[in-house]
Amino acid sequence: MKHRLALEMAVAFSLIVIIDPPITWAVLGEPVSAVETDRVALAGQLSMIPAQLYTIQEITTSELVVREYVSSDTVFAVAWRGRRPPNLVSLLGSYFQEYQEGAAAGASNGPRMRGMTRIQGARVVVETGGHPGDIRGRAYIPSLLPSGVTKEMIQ
Amino acid sequence: MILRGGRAVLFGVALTVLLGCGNSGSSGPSSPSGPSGSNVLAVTIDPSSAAVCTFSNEPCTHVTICQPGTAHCQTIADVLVDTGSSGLRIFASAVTITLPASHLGECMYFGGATDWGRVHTVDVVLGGEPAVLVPIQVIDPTFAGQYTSAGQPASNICGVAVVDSSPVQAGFNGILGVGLFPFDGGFYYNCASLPCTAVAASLSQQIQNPVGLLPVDNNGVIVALPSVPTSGSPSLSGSLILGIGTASNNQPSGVTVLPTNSSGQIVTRFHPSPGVSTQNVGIIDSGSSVIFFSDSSLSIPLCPGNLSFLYCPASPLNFSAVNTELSGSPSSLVSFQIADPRPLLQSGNAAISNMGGPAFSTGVFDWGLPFFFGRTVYVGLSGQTSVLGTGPFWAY
Repeated sequence: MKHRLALEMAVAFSLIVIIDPPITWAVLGEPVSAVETDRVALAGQLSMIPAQLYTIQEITTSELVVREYVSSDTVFAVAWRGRRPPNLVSLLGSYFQEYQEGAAAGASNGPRMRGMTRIQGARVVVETGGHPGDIRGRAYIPSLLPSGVTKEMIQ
Repeated sequence: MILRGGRAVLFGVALTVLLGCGNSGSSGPSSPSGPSGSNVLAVTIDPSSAAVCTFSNEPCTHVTICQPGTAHCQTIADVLVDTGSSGLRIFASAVTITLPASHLGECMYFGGATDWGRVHTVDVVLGGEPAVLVPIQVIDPTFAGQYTSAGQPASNICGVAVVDSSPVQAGFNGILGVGLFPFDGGFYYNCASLPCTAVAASLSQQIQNPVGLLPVDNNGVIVALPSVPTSGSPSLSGSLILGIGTASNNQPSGVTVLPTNSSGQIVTRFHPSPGVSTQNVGIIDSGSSVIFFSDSSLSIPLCPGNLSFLYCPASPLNFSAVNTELSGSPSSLVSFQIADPRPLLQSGNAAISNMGGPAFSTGVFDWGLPFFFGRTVYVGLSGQTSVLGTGPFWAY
């Protein structure tokens, strides 16, 4: 009985995690302390990957990997890869609206083609690609890219 | 090669070979008038006669859907043929028959687009094949209040900036995913009451590739398109053939078979310049309008304005890349050209062979529709066996 209760609690907990959308977190352009908020919201594992010009905070879940690129205590770029994208409303934070307006304009006036997308807003660039089963994307703030860092490094 | 020449004459297209097939053969089912039979669907790029399938390099076909077990059917035109996904999707606004009730929603993520809608189980008829009962996605941004009719976020269950909103915006009435896998890998939600909640849909509830459910021609498909000259073509006609080696019109010969990993990927080694090679994961996707690839050693300029996702080199660039199985053998050299697409787009060409753009995630090489021109491409469905082996595999 105890085991069954434990199982039920585990199921209930996992359902809570599944159905509660992570809507209160944000990270792009924010201090590195926001990364921990993301890790909790994504219920993922956090690891740190040092690099020469920046630090990568990598959050891994069963569905996706999010990498947050940090320099001078600020997240200047994010990249993702997985079976689905992360919730971009949350990940892009205050930059989401600019991305969304650009995407809306692209959907109505853009080139009549299908494939990867690139939205360049006044402050942020968002690029999406990959294919079903391996969805990829990145977003970065050009004005915050540290000297020597190129967008190709963000992946 | 027989096919390429034969088709080129048939469609009055010059014999210019754009996408060389290198050391692999490229022969397959062909006849002077193109393949025919109950397992053949006509594929066209013809913006002048299509209602909404009017994008460049957008191959479309017809599919019939029916209320299950009845003769209440509807043929849907302008359905994108997509080897990069699995399962049938139709815009709700294009459906006139009454569908069974459903509270199951789905987010389906593509590389550059997202579809939200409801899952309905219907009879699907491909070509002259028997109907198969299969769950499909009925694309509807407004289902369960998630997006506006323009595809803008409302509750935004998929967590994206925009979803496909209408046939005119998306450029198709639907997508026929005839890719490598039996299921679509989408994300499902119970929307019987709001807010919708994530559910682990059973396999029988999930959207399935209808090809795998056919009685005979169920082990994969063949996409056969004619070659296109560097000057482009205003229209194009080809075939989607169901089954591999299951009928007289789908017997392969002389093809290179490239088994994929569980994500449908092969290895593509790209040679941007002599002595330089980069390794990428390769996919073969008729639903991508161009060849998407990147290499940090390249500095091909991007096109200006709203074409900034395409390459605009000052003069045409010729490249090659080698596709291999994950183990490294067999391999196949593919030559391709990238040119400034603006003159061809402006002069009304709908099939363009030398159009490319950057894969924003470095390390992905997406062989979009230009790869298919002048080739017969075999899509081996995962878990199914044919004369070419057991899927998932690409062969050409």
